[in-house]
This record gives sequence, structure tokens and C-alpha cells, in this order.
Amino acid sequence: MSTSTMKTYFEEPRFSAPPITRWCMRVIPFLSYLVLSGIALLFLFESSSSHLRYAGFLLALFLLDALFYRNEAMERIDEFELSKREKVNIALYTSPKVLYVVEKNMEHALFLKKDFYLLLCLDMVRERYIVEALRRLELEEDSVVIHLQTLLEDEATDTREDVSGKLDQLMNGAFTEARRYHKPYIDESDLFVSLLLQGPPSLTNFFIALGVHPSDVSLALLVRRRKKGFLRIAGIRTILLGTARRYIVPQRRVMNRAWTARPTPLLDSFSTDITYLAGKELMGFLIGHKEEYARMVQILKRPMRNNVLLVGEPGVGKEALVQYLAYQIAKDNTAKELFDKRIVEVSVHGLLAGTEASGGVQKRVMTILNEIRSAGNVVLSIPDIHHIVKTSGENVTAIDVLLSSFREEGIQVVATTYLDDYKRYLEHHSAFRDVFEVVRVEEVTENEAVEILVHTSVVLEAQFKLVISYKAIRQAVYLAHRYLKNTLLPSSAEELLREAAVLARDRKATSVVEGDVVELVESKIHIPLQKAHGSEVEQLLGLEQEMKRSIVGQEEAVKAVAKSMRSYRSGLTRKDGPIATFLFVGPTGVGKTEVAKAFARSIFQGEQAIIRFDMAEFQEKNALSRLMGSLEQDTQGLLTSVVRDKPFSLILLDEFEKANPDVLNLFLSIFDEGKCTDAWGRATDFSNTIIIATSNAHSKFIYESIEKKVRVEDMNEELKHKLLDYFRPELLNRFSGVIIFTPLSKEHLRAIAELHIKKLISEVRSSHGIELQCTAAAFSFIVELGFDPLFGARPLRNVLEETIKPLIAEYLLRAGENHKQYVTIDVRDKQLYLDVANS
Amino acid sequence: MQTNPFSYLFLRGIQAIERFLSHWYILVFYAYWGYVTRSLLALDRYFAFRVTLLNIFNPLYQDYSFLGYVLGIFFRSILLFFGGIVYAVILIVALAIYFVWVSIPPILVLRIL
Repeated sequence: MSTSTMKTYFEEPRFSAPPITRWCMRVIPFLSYLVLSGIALLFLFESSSSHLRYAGFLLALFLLDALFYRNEAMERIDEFELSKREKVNIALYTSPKVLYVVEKNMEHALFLKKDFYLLLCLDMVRERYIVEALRRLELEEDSVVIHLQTLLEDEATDTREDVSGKLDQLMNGAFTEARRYHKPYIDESDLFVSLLLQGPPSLTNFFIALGVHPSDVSLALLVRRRKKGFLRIAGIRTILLGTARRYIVPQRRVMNRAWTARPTPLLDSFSTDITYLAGKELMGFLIGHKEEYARMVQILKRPMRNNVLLVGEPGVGKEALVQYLAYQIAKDNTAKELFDKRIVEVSVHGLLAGTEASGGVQKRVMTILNEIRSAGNVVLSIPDIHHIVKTSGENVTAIDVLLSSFREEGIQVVATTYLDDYKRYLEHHSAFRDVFEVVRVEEVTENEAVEILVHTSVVLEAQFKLVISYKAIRQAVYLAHRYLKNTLLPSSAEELLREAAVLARDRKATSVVEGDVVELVESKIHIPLQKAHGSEVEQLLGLEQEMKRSIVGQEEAVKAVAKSMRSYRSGLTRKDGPIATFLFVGPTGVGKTEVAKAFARSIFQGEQAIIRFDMAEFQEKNALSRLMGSLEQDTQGLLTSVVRDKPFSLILLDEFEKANPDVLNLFLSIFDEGKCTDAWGRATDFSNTIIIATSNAHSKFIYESIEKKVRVEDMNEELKHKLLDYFRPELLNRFSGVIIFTPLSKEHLRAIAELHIKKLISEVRSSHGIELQCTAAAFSFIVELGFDPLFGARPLRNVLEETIKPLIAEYLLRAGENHKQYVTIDVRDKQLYLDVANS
Repeated sequence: MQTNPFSYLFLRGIQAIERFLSHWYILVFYAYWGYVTRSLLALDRYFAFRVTLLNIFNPLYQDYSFLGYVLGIFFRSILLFFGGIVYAVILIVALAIYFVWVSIPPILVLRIL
């Protein structure tokens, strides 16, 4: 019978008795043990009869057994036994302590007329081990207790039937939890996790609101339980900190156990015996990568073409896979084809360097290969095998020898390389393709990384003498996975956690909490990760006003970008896409780029955060490879590399409609998924970017519509339709907003002129100490000169750049140090001039 | 249904004796023989009894000469002989210890009677 058809129920006879009887049923066994202890002592030490002394001895054994197993349930959970049963009474698998705490709170709930679950929870959160788990989850015992007391007042009261029903549900949940972690019986932590899962919604919601899921509690309790035994494991620090090679281990070169191998003295002097170190339990810890491991073993078992090339990004766990294989071989826990083999690690540099003449290298390589052939039990492990090709210019003969040897039956190799180097040096190398079977090592999942880090944190805690909260671990994994793409999980998260621990120790803190990790990542990637607070909230709420200081008109665009930023900082943006994507359409000089700049100044603290591309330069066929990188030309992508360096940025794509259709398709996937993969196979994340594309397409239509007094809202649909001449409908649909920039009126231009002149006045004051002024007549003349409906504000800027600034420059050069403090811009005979005398 | 406290307490007493016997004989059996098996396997990393037996007619270190075969059989036989003795001694001692262990309660009962 399978366990799925097994019926479980909870029946403890004591629970159905009246309170006084129940108390007696609990106390009498305890008193009986006390009495029996007295009798045993009496028989052993005071009796003259040998029969009684033997009876005392037997009784003492019985009592010691009862004492030793006092916290154990009546029966141990045995899946095999369970599978044979139709009905299972969970009470038999529940520890006496759990039975006691349940009984006590059941009684209280009925007596006080309160909610059973909440009373039980309130009782349990005061227990030492739960308090410790809550601290690991960054929850304070006192605040949890106060909140639970409040909830207790609000919840409905329980009748005996309610309690009985709840108890059944609760204990079933606890039983499932205990079986999930292969525990021998239900203990308090199982009960607590079940309580959070089965409890009233108000209880679950309370913990979720604090960022704690019941499964987190389960893992936090697991850390506590594993911690003690874990540090006692020989070499666990070495395994998790990866320092096995630094250990001074006598490299004992053992023959294989069948006495069939031959010695390999030269190989031994250039290599490290991984199987030996793994046998000493100094390496071989692996979580995840089950598929890759199975595939590796499957290839190694083959009679021919049995060399493995593990390809993966840095930190993904290639080395750990080889070490785990060595561990399994050392423990005789692998296929018979690999039984009794040695995994010997040799570096390419170690093998090929150190001898001046290439003939020397070749001789050495030949000798080593002969040793391996004759030994018959060596599997070579070669990390970073791409170095063989990289150095091929110098030692071409040695490489040829190596590769042709790897084809032979007697020599087996497990090599590793990075994805970049594989694509650059090995993928096109036919000899390599013939010799090796590629196994792609993928990044571990976030859950697997959390599990790895839970183990690593135990070692780090002992090393740095502080407590690392479970939330900090989870956050380290989440943030490392999302933002630190140079190395992959679990290494990226491990490095982050270690760095956070160092910083915490330096500032004499006693724990590493979630905030420490977030702060550290923020300082690394310059992306606001913490919830908006303080001045940032005010800044976000007043973003439109801030932008309007330098932007005239274009209300819709200003509102749209401000809204998108507020959504982002409130955590409400779409998860799999950029923060927002906008298409600004309108005639030239109406402020499309200015809006982007003003936004960058307000949010990113400067225009330098703008990643700007003139898409007119990406019209040719090779445009895509320029943006995404090229393997053939060995170039990095202009777009992908800059976004990887500045993940939180504003991408401005000028004249978007002019880009090559392939480029537009690339942005289609970026808008949709928020990421893209470059030519080197690396993913680039765009989920923290705002993308603004600008276009002059159909400017004439906009201009004419405005002239005909058509409202922008009415123009919108028709323009969208017209834009299909340039963009595919799916691309247009993926923009968060297509915003029409209307031509500037004379009033707009006056306001812009005022802004520009104010800016100029401020510049001249700060650079030369001159108080520049502008007469009303001159101002009107400047606006008149700069007004051209077809070109927007651009002619106005030209007036400033080409007429006023040269006047000032000329004056400054002539006057030198003796310039006046007050200078006025004025107009006479339709000519602007500087009035110095009357100032 | 109300529970009879006397029958409950009586049952608890019987269960306590059952648990004692179950721990003494079953739990200790698994724990002890698990330990003995692990120790023998650890020892087999040195004696390699089964592997040596499977390779009894293979020469040592791939020396396929007549002498190599003779030496192979000779040395492997010695290893098997001494290994066998060590394993046998360990097994006999382990069995004896367990026998003493399982005998303690009945001997005590017999002495009492």
C-alpha cells in the first residue's frame, strides 16, 4: 500500500479525559519512575539478597533507557513501515514535549475561551529555540508576542469540537513536516511550522507581512539544529571555504586497491590527487547539479569518447562537480567503470611551463602520458583547458600530442572551461570537438543556493563570531542572482555574504542582517534597492515639479516618466521587463531629449547616467553585432557591456525609427523580457533601466494637426496608425507609452528663453563674478530671433550659442581683469550688444 | 468516548516495557551493526578483500611475465589470508559483544528467579 492511501488521525487517549484525570494520567507515570528509581537504588545498595540486587540492576537498566529516550515518541517514523499501514495514529509519532504543549494550550483555550492556535503560538514563541529561529529571521520576540496578544483579542473563541478539529489538522501538518525532513518523530519545530501553515489567516498574514514565510521558519529552525553537529565534521570549513589545496596534506600516492595500477612519479610531481583529498573529506560537498553529474558519469562510463568538458560561467560549480565525483569514487559510491580510479588534477600552465626548450615540454608531456597509460586508473582533471589553445603558439607540438592522446582509450580527461573561452578558443577547434563531450554546467537554482549558503553561513558564523540571519542569506542569494552577474550562484552570493560579514565585524556588529546585504549591493551597483524612505519619498512625490524647473510644456511626458519611477520604487513595476519604455514622437527641438535629461538629473543625479545611442548610426546590417558583440570580431556589445556596467540607467535611443529592422527586433525582446543574451552567451539584465526612444517620424502630420487645432488625444490613434510605417505593431504595443510632443508656441519659447538666460547668468556669475542682466527689449528680440515652429527650441539655443555667448566672450577677452561687475544685454537697430557703461 | 485512566496507565506501563525491549534489541541492533559494517568497509579500503579476490589471477602492477603472475597470486593470497583473519576476528568479537548484550536481560531475569 502506498503512503498516499494511508489514512492518518490523531488520537491520544489522555486528551479526551477530564482535566483532573488528565493531570493524574500525566503525573502518575512520572511518580512511578521516581518510586522505581528509589526501589532500584534500594535493591542495588541496601539489599543483602543477590536476587534483589539483580532485580535492582535490571530495573536500573530499564530506568536509564527511559531517561535516555525520554524525549522520543512511542514509535519512530519509518517510511517502509508506514507504507504497509492503512491507518496511522500520529500521536504515536509525537514527542512527549509536543504532546504536553498541545495538551496544555488546548486546556487553556477551552478554559479561557480563546483561539487554540493563537494561544499555542503565543506559548511557543517564548521557547528558547523558537526565539533563536525568530532572531535569525530578524523578528523580535517581544514585538511578536505583543502582536499575537492583539490578535488573540480579535479572534473568535473555540469550542471543544473546534479545538478537536484544529488539533487533527495541526498534527497532520506537523507529521508531514517531520517526514519531509526525515525526522524520527514530530518535534516542536514541526509543530510550530505546521501552526504557521494551518493557523488562522491573521497569523499567517502577520508573518508574511514581516517578510517571513512558514518555510523560512522551517529552514531557520533547521540551521539551528544542524549547526552543532555540522562544525564537528572533519574538514567542513575547508570544504565550504574551498581551501583544501592550502592544507598541508601529505600527498600519499597510493596504488589502487587491486594492485593492478603502476606508479606515476612524474605526474604526481605536477598534480594534486583530488580523490585522496576527497577521501580525507576535505572536499566533495555538492548541492544541486544532479543532471550535470549524472551526464558526466554517463560519459565517463563509455568505452570510447569518454572525455568530459564542463563548460560554465565562473563560480557556477564546475570544480565542485569534479570534486564530488572524486568524493563518490573515494567512497566507492559510483559506477563500476570508475571504481578504484584516481582523479588527478593537473594545470595546463604547470604542464607546459618551466622548461625552456619546447622539446623539453614535449618530452615531459610524453612521459606523463605514458605514465597515465600504464597506470590505467587515472582520470585527468584539467581546469581551464582553454589555456592549451591560448598557448598553442609556443608549444604547438605538445598540444597536438595531448589532444591525440586524449583520443586514446587509456587516457580519460575531465576538463573545465568558461563559456567565453569555450566560444572563443574551443568551439571552432575541430580536434577538441572530436575529443570532448560538452556538459553545460548551469547556475544552481535560488533555493539550492540558499541551501548551500545555509551551510556556508554556519562556518562563517564560527569564523567571524557573529550571527548571520536567514533573511540575510536569502537576500544575498536573491540580489546576487539578480544584480551580480560577473560570477554566478552560488559563488556570487557566498562572496557577498562573506563581504557583509567582514564589514559587520569591522563595525563591531554582532549580526549580519538583511539590511547589511542590501546596503552592500547598493554600494556596488548603484541601484536603489531599499524601500524608498525619507527625502527620497519627497523627491519621488515632487518629481514633476522638479522636472518642470527645466522643462517647458510636455506635461504628458513628464507625468509618464515620473509615474513610472514611483511605481518602480514602490515595487509595482512588471517583474520581467524594463522599469518603463517610452516612445517620444514629435518634431525636432520640442524637448524629447530634454525630458530625458531632466529626468536623469532628478533621479540619477546627473546626465552622465544616460546611455545614449544615435540609432541613425545603426542602420547597416552589422548594427546588431555592434550592439550585442561579435565572436568573429572579438568585440563586446556596445549596448550589453554598458548596461552590465550601469544596470540602473536611462537608455536614450535617438531617432529610433532609423535603426536597422534587426535592431528593432532586438529591442522587441528587451521590452518584452527585460533581458537579452549577447554574442558571448551572457545574459544582460534591463529590468533596472528606463528606455526612452525618440522619433521625428510623421512630425509634419503632428505639426499640421496642431495647426488645424486637432486635440492631442484625437491625434494619438491616427499617429499610432501612421507609425506602423516605421515600426511593427508588436513593437509599438510593447512601449509603456507612445507620447506625442507637440510643437512649441511662442509662450513656450519665452519660458524656455527665460530658463536659458537664467542659466547663462548663473554660469557667468560663477565663472567670472559678473552680474549679467537682460533688458526686456533684448529678451523679446531673442525670442523673436529664436522662434521657428518647424525647429522648436533649437534656433533659440543657436541664438544663445552663436550671438550672445560670443559677445560675452569678446568682452571678457578685451576687458581682461578689468571687466565691470554689471553687464547688460540690450538691443539696438535689431542688433544685440553688451551695455557696459550704463551698468 | 471517555478514557479509563487505569487501563491507560496500565497500557503505558506495558508500552514502557515494550519500548525498553525494542530499544535494547532492535534499535541497538541497527545502530551496532551499522557501526560494525561501516568499520569493516573503512578497513576494506586497506585490505580490499573483495577486489583482491576478483583479481587473484591478475599479476601485480601489470607485470605480465610468468614471475609476475606467480608473485601476484602469492602476495594476493597472503593479503587475503591476513585480511580474512582480521575480518574474521572483528566479526567474531563484534558477534560476541552483541551476544553478551542480548543476553544481559534474560540472564538478569534468570538470576532473579
